[in-house]
Amino acid sequence: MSITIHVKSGQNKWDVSIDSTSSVGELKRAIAEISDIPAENQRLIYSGKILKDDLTVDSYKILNDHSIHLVKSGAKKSTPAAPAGGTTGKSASGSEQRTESTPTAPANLSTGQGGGFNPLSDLTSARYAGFLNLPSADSFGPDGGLTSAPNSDEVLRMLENPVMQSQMNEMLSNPQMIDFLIQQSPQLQSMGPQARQLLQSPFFRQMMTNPDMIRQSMQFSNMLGGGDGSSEASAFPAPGSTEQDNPGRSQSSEQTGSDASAAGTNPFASLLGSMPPPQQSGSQANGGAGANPFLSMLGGAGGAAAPNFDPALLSSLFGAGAGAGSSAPAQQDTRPPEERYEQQLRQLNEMGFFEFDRNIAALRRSGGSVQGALDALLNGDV
Amino acid sequence: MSKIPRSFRLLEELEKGEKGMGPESCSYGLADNDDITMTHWNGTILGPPHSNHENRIYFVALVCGEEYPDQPPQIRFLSKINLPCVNQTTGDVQASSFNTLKNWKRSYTMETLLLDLRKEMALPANKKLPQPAEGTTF
Repeated sequence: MSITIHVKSGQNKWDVSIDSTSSVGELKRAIAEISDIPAENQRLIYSGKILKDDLTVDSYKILNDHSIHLVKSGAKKSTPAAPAGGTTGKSASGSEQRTESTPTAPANLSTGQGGGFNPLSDLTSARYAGFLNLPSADSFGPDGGLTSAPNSDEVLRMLENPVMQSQMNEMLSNPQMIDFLIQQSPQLQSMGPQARQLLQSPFFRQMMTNPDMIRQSMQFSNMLGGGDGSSEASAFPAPGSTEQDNPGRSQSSEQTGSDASAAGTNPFASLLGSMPPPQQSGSQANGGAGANPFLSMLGGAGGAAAPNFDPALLSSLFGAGAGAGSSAPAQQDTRPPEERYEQQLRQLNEMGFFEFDRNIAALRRSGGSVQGALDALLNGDV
Repeated sequence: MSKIPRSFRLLEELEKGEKGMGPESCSYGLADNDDITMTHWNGTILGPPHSNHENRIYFVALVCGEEYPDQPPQIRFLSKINLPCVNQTTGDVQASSFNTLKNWKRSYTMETLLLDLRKEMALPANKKLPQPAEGTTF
């Protein structure tokens, strides 16, 4: 009699049809064919028993539609200290089973949020129960990162940590992680396939992991944002999001000349803010090169796309990466400055700077960096 | 609310074990499929990752007495394991030092027990305990 058995291993699940009189060894070979796990590395568990190769499926009373667990065994020689490479995948929480997932296939960009690979699902599964060394919610701010993304200087401080740097590097070299990041961020999603190219380019990786570069870029974008007058100091539009936010701008990106005059106060703001169509990006980047070498560097990074790093986009990237799980798009910060810079203002007050207006102005200039604000205050720039 | 009788409860657990509806990290089933009293059970616990138990499979034997689920089942490790709550000569899990057994509730199942034992293995205090060679039994 032929029966169908569900084989579960981590997040993978296979259905195997086999004659119930066949041996467990034959069952393992059948599983090996569809799962790519060699028969000798399979350990099958059913009803609290490990299945022995020479007994039949019948003898274990495995019936149609029953499930068995597959545990990959590690290296043949198992020393207690050496964790074998073949750990099983993450344990999906009981109710959720994916019928088929090929871990190496890139997830389609248009699939819904959270489909396929989700590196964070581990954190909520029972597999990690009892582990106390996960980062506490405090590290994402007073509310656990739900509403307030970490501000720019916190992000920078995080980046200067060598552990974080190596994690970032590892993360960005994992294609699955890139897919996940893109899925999590609507801004990146709207960039289409360019987002992947951009994230995967070694230049970008270097840029993302080099705190100095990010600081420069953030200061630059703040400078532009501040000059624009119409927008909040730190709320610089993210690439791609401008199409919805600001139709006027994306239209005008076709003629740089009129665009510059339309933006009025600051021609570079519009250049950076709007995503140029791929064909024109080269010329635009070159046009900007004369005025500002840093801009052209940014333009060259992605080849086709000119990335600009506003703190919101950065922190939404990190929010996802660091496990805060903030799938919500980074919102423009519309809180009043005294609230937004509450922490920094307190610090400044403690240092003896009591002029509220000057402090705010300085913090705006520095994009929330206390250090930068101090420089501005001491130099008398504000 | 009326109490679910022992046999219904155990049948429910049996089905859950056979169909694999529970978590992947543990498995359980009747030791003898002809045991109509559903007293003797086998269980396995997959060692938690990032510990000395990683990639190991531990076998336990459970005995659900007449009073189950009002009283906890007896549970005994068949595979040798070094854990504070496990008697090192018999493999019995000692109720006095294992909270889930000590404060047993009627709503607990064998699955609760297996998962809590797994958590016990993953505790920072226990996860690096030296373990006997895999495959040895009590």
